[in-house]
Amino acid sequence: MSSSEALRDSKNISGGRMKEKVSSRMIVTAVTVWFLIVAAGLFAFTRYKSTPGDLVPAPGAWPPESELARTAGIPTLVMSSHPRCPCTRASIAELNELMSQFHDRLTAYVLFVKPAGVSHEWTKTDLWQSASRIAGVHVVIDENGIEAARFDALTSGQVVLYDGAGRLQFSGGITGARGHIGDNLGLRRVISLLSGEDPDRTDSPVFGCPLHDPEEMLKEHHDATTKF
Amino acid sequence: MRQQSSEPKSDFDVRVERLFQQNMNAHRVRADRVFVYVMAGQWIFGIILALVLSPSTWAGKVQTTHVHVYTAVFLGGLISALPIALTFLRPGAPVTRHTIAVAQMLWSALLIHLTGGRIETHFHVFGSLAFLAFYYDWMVLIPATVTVAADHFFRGLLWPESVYGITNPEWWRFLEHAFWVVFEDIVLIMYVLRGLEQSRAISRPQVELEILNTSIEHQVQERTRELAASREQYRSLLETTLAVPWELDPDLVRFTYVGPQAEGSFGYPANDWLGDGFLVDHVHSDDRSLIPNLGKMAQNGKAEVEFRLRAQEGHWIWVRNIINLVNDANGKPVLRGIMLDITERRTLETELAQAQKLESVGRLASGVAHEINTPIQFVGDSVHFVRDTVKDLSGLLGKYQTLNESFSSGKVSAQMMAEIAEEEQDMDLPFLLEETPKALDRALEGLDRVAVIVRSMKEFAHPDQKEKTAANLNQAIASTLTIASNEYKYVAEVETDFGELPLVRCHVGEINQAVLNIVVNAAHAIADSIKGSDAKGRIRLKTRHDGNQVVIAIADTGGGIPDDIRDKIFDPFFTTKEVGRGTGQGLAIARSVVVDKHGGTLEFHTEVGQGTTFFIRLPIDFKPSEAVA
Repeated sequence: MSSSEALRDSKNISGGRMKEKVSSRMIVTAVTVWFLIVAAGLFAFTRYKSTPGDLVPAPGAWPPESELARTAGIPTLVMSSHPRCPCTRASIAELNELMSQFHDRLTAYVLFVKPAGVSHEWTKTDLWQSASRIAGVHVVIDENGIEAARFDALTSGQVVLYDGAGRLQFSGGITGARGHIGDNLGLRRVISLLSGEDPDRTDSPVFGCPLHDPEEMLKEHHDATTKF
Repeated sequence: MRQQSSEPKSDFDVRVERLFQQNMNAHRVRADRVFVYVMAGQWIFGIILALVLSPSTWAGKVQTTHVHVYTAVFLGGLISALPIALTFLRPGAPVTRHTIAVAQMLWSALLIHLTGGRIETHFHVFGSLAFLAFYYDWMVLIPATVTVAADHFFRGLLWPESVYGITNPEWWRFLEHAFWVVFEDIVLIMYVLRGLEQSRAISRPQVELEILNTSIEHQVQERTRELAASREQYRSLLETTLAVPWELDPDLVRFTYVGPQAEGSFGYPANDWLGDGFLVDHVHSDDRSLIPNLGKMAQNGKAEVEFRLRAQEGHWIWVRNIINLVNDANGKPVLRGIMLDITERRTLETELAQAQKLESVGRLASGVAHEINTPIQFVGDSVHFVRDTVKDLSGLLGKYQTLNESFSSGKVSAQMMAEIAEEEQDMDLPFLLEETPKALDRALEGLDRVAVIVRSMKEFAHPDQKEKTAANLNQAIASTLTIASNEYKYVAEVETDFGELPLVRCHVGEINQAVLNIVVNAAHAIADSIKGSDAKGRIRLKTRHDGNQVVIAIADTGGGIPDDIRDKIFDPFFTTKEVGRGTGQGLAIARSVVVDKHGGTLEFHTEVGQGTTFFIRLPIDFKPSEAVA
């Protein structure tokens, strides 16, 4: 082998090693960056899922204008739901668990808010079917969300619990995160109340879709204000 | 206690380890490829899940695409993208499978979120760990387990209610979840280590087999090389010599192989020889009867057969074939032989035979000369006598003429008469008148004898024709005895007993040579046995017809052939005679002529002290169209 060939061979070998070294470095960098981006994505996603919807305090007493029948001496629970909110699937599942314990000690309603301009069929989704199947639950189509508004419900899945005397005991959600079934504070509080115990709080975040179109609500508010 | 340093591994152990690593690497590359499909499948599944369970977010009537869908598409795609890329960039590498392990756990988290935290979806974690164990690398379980633990730790820290259902879990709660993961890890690690052990154990016999295969392969290659070299050597030897190797089907009488040198010797390409009937069509008609019997001849071992083949140019070539009958690879009998061109040898043999004949003639020349001399003496003496008689009678005739004239003239005198009577008495006229015819008879007899001797010489010395011709053997033997008479007449009486013989197809000159050699030997044997005495021996020649053969028996009353030399007498140059009395070729030539050239037999019966009888048996093989007058 000539010296020039030896020199060329040596450069090829070291060049190959260098290429491999750079590639390994690039790969390690790529893996690290990838992991950080994915972690950030998961963080953002989890934060979204843990971000509750709007919640305002419900009326302290059973609204007299409510068309829902209430039996004196028996607690009444009302869940306001958007018929197409995916997160409410978890709320209804938790309601099912609640009713499995307390169906004979509780009157429960699930209001499915029917916006103006849509048909009844639009409202009767799989959520409607799931709620209908829960023993002891009365499913109601709430035209334009009037009934839900009486309880100041803004977010799908909001639950209000009134005792037998019509006093508000709980207002909030019964899921731990958006669309997330499983053990959660809201459900525990409702169970405590129904069990005659005092919970740590009487509210909890509601995770669900807005019951109303915010622009429509804004317009209505503006109209009402202007009219006033 | 100090730990002993490990001994250097043997080559075998190194090979086992290398094979094990190769097998493991190949297995892990395959596992990487499987995870390509798993990653892609999970991504598609996640998208489907989002579209089915949570396609839209609502606000009243207003519908927007749910965050789940974007998350499934983009975050899910990102989670799958790098592992898939690494399986192509670094298949089988640790970084690939560790990244896959992390990604698989991230997919568990994402799917749990997309299904709303269903308990059933949590099984994906445990199933994925088992799946990762397929890599037979327990270390991939570490990043997977750390990912799960970290997810629970950070989510438990930031959103505890979503993980534990309470807002103030104990600090170690994440460990409770991680514990079940670790529990499965322990089981899987045991499974992996066991699998590695078994795989290593399998590698040992695999390496042994590889070594054995390599060894066998080397041996086979070596043997193949040797075989090829040997075959090439044999092929080169066979195909470059002048001897033509061939193979013949004895049933079909067809060549199945002929060496390429056949074309150079005979003019026909080697392929032509393989045609049906080639051999029979190209063999001389006189030799054709040998061909169907080649197999039979070779049955008892090697056979040597000579016949003539026609060359492409038309001339005949004498070939000598050394033949073996063998079984081919299929067990079928085949004839294999080599063919040598012996035309030159045959020509030389013919010339040698002729030279030997002439040499015999030369040897016998003095005897022949002596034989001729005696009758010439007779002729000379007789002619001289007749000349002298004619001279005397001429003188007497002159006197008779004078007397006649005197008588005519009337002048006859008594003196004249007395002179005539005296002259008649002087010349012994009665004697002359009696002896002169006898002298002429003796002269004629002598001339006849010379003519016979000369004719015999002429017949004996005449070169044989190339082809056999039908010959009268009795006549031929008689001629031979004539020219050889000087060899035996002093020591033996010759008796002949010629039976009725058909014409025999032969080279009559060569038969004469054979008979001559045996007769001369017989004379020499008798001479040795009667040395010092006046007795004469006897040589008896008898011919007879025996079926398709003729038998010539030559018996002598010599001393017989001793037992210890009986198997040598036909050997060339073997002789018991003193130097100058023979070259030891006589019986060798006789045997060659009778056996090799005429297909006959030459045998003898001998008794020491009594004599020897030689039996020449010749096949008749007569063709009437070739009768010699």
